[in-house]
Amino acid sequence: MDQAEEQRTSSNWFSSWMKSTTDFWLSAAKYWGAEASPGSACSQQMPYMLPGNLGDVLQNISKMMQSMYSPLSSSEALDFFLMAAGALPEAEVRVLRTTSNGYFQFQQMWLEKSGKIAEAATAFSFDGFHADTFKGLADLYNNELKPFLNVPPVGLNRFYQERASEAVDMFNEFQVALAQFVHLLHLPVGRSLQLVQEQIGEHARNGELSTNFKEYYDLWIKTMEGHYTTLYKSPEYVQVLGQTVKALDRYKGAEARLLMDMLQSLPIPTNRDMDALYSDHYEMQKKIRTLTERIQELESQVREEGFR
Amino acid sequence: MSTPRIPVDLILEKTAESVAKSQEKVLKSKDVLLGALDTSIATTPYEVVYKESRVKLKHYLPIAESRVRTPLLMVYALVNRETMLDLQPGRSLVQNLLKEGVDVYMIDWGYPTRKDRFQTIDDHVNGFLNNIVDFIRQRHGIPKINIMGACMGGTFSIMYSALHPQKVKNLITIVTQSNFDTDKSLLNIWAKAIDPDLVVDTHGNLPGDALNVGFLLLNPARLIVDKYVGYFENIDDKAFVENFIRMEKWIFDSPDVPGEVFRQFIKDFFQKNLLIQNKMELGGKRVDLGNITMPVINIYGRFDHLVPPEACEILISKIGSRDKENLCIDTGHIGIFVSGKSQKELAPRMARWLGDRDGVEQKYAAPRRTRPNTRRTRPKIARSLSLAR
Repeated sequence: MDQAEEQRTSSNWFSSWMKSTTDFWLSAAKYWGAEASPGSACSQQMPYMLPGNLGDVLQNISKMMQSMYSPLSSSEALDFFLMAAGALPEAEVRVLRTTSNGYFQFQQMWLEKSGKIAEAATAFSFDGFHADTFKGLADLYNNELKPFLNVPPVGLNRFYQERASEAVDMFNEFQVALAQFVHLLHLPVGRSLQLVQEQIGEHARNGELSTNFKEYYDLWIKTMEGHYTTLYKSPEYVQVLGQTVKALDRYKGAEARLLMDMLQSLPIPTNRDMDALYSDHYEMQKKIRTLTERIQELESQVREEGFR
Repeated sequence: MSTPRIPVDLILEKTAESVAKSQEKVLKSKDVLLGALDTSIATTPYEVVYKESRVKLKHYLPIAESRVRTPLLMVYALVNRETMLDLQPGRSLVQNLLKEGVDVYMIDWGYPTRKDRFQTIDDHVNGFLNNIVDFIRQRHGIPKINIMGACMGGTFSIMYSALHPQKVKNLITIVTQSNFDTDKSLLNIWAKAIDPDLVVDTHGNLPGDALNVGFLLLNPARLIVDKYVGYFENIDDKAFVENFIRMEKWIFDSPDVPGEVFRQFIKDFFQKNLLIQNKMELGGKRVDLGNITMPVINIYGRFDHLVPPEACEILISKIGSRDKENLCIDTGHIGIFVSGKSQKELAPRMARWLGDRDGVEQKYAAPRRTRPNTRRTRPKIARSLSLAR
């Protein structure tokens, strides 16, 4: 392979990597943007849907990436870039190429997997509340990141490592659940503000705008209260609440186990030690109470028999 | 298209006016907040006459001639503190009952620590409560006493009365949930989504702060936003600030709930609704509501969003008593104890009801029938207080 061919090949893979990366983020942005757009079928089912905030953010990121990559994609820039690389000895270039190809393949795999996550999220219906987004986030974590934490540790410290990984894992799971929960809690605030804004707009159009701000504040509070009541009774909220409490408890448990490992080296009793003691104490108290009652019964029995 | 007519001048004038008012309030609030404030709660004098572990028994000093011979034991919930029943002078069920000549005892459950995590409902009902009832019976030399249970304390009192009917002369339940199969209360809906085993195994006891967050989330618009806007609007009013702080003190004074009590309460009551079906078991004994044969009055609030009427009223049809009644008052869960209306109605009504069944000569006016009040207007303070729960 001559130098010109090498440059063409390198130029091709670089361009296709940039294209696939930007394509991925653009399609993701479009996907989420469409999901979140006010007129979409999804948002019509969701009374609490806000105009596509996440989709907008992703689209902005994609556009930014496109702008950043476009100068690099030009053949002049690439030629210049690769000419500099061509100055390196062939062996080094080969190493670089192998590494780059490996990285590119890794990127491709990652993108393919991420694409599958989006597919999975499309198939999942949660009846609203941006649930697909959070499902995607959870899937992304569970499929792509969590496995790294679950790599079985080996050696003398394996159990300590396992508990540390578990704590990190539970923390991440809790963050995912909490994000969804907080998002749900935020929906009535946004929705009620939107309604009050509409009301103010209507009043302004009709020349009925109140000079007393308190009236609009009261309307906002009342509307928000109503939205919360509706949200709180929805099966989605109850499910997310249950998931969040569960994730919190699992994280707190993992954190406690990790802390207990650390405390082992200090002369401080752990909750596990104290619970064992409290349990014994509780059982002994019960036994003493039962025995006291029995003694009292026997004493009165003896007194009665003595009188006979 | 017509041009919107916006009275900009009026809006600006109004804004300037409110800014000036707010500034004035802030300046005045300095005198209020930095000055001497009386925010003490539970000030009615009492003596501690019995102690067992963290649990204490308060006996309130009488302030009027005794009109009800049988002493009354008040049993509050493990959630929050019994100080709600004696919040402040003028808003105190305890004080009002003392004025009516009732001899009042009250259980203070204390602050459970990790040591108490293994204590069960059985330990509270057949242990602490039974020991306290025996103590009062012995102290007064009587076979039976009157019991009044509020909220979760009412549920404990129902179980106690079913298991030890020979020790209970009359039973009063206030805002007490006996039927947990209702979707009218968010607590009932949410409790079904909770895994009590995981909560208890993780935390030991249920942290009081977790309960506080749960209560605040019941109505964030009012409890997290509007309540404090109201506080700011009245921040230059010393009496308002004092009352507000008293309520804040009570609301956030939340002891942890012993783990095993929480586990059983969620499973057996909220998730399986065992009590009202006569399937509940305590200490190996079935709690049969048919054993409740003493006179019972079941009092609850029409606008109670924590323990709605549907959760309370069915009890009367399930117990064995012949002398029994439901009394629904136009108020909420906390308003029933602290609202101005309740101050006038609740204690006199309870005292009359107890007096009628006490067999002593009545020295006060004949019983009056309580008419449901359909008006919902409440004084400013009472409104802010009752919003709390």
